[in-house]
Amino acid sequence: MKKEDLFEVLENIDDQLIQRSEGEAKVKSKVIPFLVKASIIATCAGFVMYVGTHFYGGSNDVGRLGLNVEETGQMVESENATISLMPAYGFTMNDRVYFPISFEERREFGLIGENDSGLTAENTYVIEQKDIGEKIGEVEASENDKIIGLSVYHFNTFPTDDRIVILENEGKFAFYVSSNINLE
Amino acid sequence: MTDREIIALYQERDERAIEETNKKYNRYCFSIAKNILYNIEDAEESVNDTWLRVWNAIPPEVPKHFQGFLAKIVRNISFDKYKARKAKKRGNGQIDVALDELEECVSGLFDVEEEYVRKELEKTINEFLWNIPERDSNLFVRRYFFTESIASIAKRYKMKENNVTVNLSRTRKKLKEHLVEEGYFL
Repeated sequence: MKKEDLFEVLENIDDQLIQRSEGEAKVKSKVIPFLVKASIIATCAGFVMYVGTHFYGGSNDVGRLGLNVEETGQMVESENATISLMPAYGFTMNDRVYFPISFEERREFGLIGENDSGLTAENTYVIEQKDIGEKIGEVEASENDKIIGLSVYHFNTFPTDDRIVILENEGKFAFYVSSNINLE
Repeated sequence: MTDREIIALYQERDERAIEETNKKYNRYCFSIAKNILYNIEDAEESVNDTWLRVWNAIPPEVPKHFQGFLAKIVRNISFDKYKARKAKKRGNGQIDVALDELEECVSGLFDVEEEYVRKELEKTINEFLWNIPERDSNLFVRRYFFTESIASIAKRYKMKENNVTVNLSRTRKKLKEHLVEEGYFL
């Protein structure tokens, strides 16, 4: 018997086994009323203002301030690893709210080493074309008009996980993570 | 729309059935196809072929678990495409690694060309998967049914990748032992 034959035999495993494997990992998301959507958008805007006032402060010297790059609101991932300045706006899509990935979330998703204590150009995960998965949708709402309508993709390392996504903006890519709030 | 309502559309031969299936399960089926084919265009084609096969299957078939039914069809179509592609030496992705892992379970296992022997083997494997701990069974299904990457499985079950790999290795070993006990080896 060949390995391909066994793979084909496994096609007929019980539906309940398939269902069970789906079920264990499902995380229940918090459902909130539609009216709260507006305040979530406002929160996205507030986040930007906070970043601008408390972190960005007119300086680009991230190292001197000792801050994570994403906390300063800069988009750091791109095909050629250049660091481009971009405000850290959140957005909504498919009734979920997404924010730029945080340092801890980078650790959670294995994008940074266990022992890394800060984000640097060297340890910043560079998103490449192979990382771009299936298109999930487009930015539906954001305080930043410029990103509305931009494409959002799955991250190929987690091809079925809607929590971490990649936003494409003029050929540059950035990770966003869902706040796990469902706006339905 | 619920699965039951979608199935009812198929039974009425209403073409909205495909539209609704696509709306609800495109992403799900696409990810299965892409895990096997590692190619966006081929995966999209597999998903479209899946809709056609489902349209032809229902009726007469009435799947009890629609999502699993779709998973099996898209997996079957994608694997056929993979084999065709492999013949042209274009294979890559998770599937090759997963198949290599399965090889240790089949070395020495006799051919199961006869349909009834194949059915018995399916039954034996199902029994095996029901009798091992749920987590072990789930990991096995994610890896060898859905062809998910180790990293993806680790994330799904909040485990370390190394633990997933070790767990799968133990389960494969147990499966082989079970198949030996059941007389599937010469």
